[in-house]
Amino acid sequence: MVKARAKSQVPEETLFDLESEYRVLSSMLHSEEACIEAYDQLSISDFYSPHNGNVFAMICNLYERDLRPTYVELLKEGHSLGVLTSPADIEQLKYIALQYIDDQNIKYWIKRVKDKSRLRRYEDFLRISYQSLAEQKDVDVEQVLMEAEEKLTNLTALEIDDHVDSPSEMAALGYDEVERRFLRYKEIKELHKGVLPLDGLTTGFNTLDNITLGYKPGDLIILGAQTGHGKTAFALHTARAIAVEQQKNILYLNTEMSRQQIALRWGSILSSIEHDRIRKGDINESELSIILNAYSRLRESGFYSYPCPNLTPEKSISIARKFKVQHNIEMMIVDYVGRMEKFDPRQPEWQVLEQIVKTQKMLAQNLNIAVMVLVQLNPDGTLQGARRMKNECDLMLKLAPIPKEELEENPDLKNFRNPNYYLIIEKNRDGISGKGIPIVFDQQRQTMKDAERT
Amino acid sequence: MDVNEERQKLYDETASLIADAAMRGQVSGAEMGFLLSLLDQIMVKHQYPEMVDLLKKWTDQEPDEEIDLIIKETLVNIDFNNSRSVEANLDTIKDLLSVQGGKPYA
Repeated sequence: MVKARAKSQVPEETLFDLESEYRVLSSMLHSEEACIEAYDQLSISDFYSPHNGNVFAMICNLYERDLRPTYVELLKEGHSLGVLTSPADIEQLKYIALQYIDDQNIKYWIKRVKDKSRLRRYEDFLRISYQSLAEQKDVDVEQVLMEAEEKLTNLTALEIDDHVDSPSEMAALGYDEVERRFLRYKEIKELHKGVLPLDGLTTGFNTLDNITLGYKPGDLIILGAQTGHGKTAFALHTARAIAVEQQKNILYLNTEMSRQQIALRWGSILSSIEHDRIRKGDINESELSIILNAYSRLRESGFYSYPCPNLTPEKSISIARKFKVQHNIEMMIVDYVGRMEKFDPRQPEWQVLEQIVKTQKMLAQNLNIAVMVLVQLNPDGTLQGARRMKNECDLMLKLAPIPKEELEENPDLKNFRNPNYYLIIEKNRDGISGKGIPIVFDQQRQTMKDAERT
Repeated sequence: MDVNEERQKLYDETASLIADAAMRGQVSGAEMGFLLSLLDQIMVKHQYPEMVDLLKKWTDQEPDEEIDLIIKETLVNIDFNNSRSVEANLDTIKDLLSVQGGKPYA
C-alpha cells in the first residue's frame, strides 16, 4: 500500500519521455554523429521502455562491428537475433525510424533521455527509502540518514561510472603498481638483459623510450617545431614505430595534407628512397618493386588516416570516439592544431590553442589513449601560450636543428654520428626534462632516428 | 513533404515491407537479407549501380527456369561487405545473362 501510494504521487509523464527515446534512436539510424554521441552518453538502462533499450543495444552492437546502423541493418539484425516475432514489431521499428530529427539537436534529446533516467533513479531512491522506513521498528536514525545521503550523493554529484577511491583501495592500487614494477625490473635483469619493457607505446627513439617509458594511455604529448622542420615527419615516424613496427592501431588526423601526399610520404619513409624522386616518379624498376614491398607493410599496419582540413576540436573528439569504438585505437595524432577551426573567431590565438589542448587532454583521459598534438613554433623558436600548454600536457617536446656553431664547438656532440637535430624534452611529468636528445633527421627520406654514439 | 523526407519515407516503407514479407513467409530469410541489402546499396550507400542495370536486364529477358534459379541463388549469396565477392558475383550474373540472352552483356 505504501509503495502504491508513493508511486501514484508522481505523474507518469514526469518519469519517462518516450518521444525523446524515439528521437534519439531514430537519429542514431540516420546520422553517424548522432550515433557516436548517443553511444558515448547513454546506456541501455537510460531507456524507460525495454524495447527501446533493446533497439539501442542492437544499434550499438552494429556500430561496434563497423556496420553503419541503418534501418535496414537494424531489421536484419533483429531478424537474425529472433527479436522480430510479429508484424507489430516491424511496425514499432518503423515508427522509431520515422521520428527523425536534425542531428544538430541530438544533444538536447539525449539530455532529455538522461534526465528522465536520473529522475527514475531518484524516484526509486525515494520509494525504497520510504518503504524501508515504514518497515523498520527500531530506526537507527544516524545510519538511515548516512545511507540516504550516500545514495543521494551518488545521484546528484557522480555519474554511475565515476568512482571515489577509499583509503584501502588507494593503498591496494599503490601496492599493485609497485609490485608490478618490481617484477618487471626483475624480468629485465634476468630475462631481457637490459632491454627496457615500456609502460606505454614506443616513441620510436631509444633514448626517449628510456626517459619516458613510452607514451602512456591518458597522456597528452605536445611536439613543437617551426615550419618545414619535421612536424609531419615526426608524426609519421611515431606512426611507423607504433602502427607499422608494432601493429597497434593509431589514428592520424592531418589538417593540411591531402590523402595522396600522405600516401606518398609513406612510400619514402618505408622504402628509404628519396621523397622528391618518388614524387616526380624518377625511380627505376627495382626501386618500384622496393616501394611496392614497403606499401605491403603499410597495408598490414594499424595506421588509420583521416585528412580533415576543417578540423574542429569537437570533430576531433567525435572522430576519436568512433575509432576507439570501432578500431580500439591506442593513440591519436593531430597534425597540427594551428590549422584547427576556432571555437570562437574573436578569441586570441593563445586562448584558442589553450582550449584545444585542454580538450585533447580530456579526450586522452576519457578514451584512455595517448594523444599527440603538433604545434607550430614561432620563427624565434618560442611557442605562443607555451606556459599554459605546458600545464596541460604530460610531455612537451621541441624539434629544432642543431646550430652549425654548436655542432662545431660542443664536445658532447662529437660523441654522436652525424646529429643534425635536437629533440628537446621541455616537460616530462614522469621523469627528467630540459634535455636535448641528438637525433638524425633525413629530410630527403623523411626518416628520423637516435644519433648513434661513436 | 520535401524530396528528402519523401525519399526517407520510401526507404522506411520499403524496408518494412520486405521484413514484413519475410515475417509472413512470403520470402525466405536469405531473400529478405538480399533485398534489404540491395535497398541499402541503392538508397544509402550508393555502391554498385551496375547491379541495378543487371537486375533490370534480367527482368526484361525471357524467363529461363534453370538460369533464373542460378541467378537468384547467386544474388542471395552475395556478401555486400566484401567488394571482391560482389564484383565476382556480378560477373557471374553477366555471364549467365549473356547465355540466356544469346549475346555478351554490354
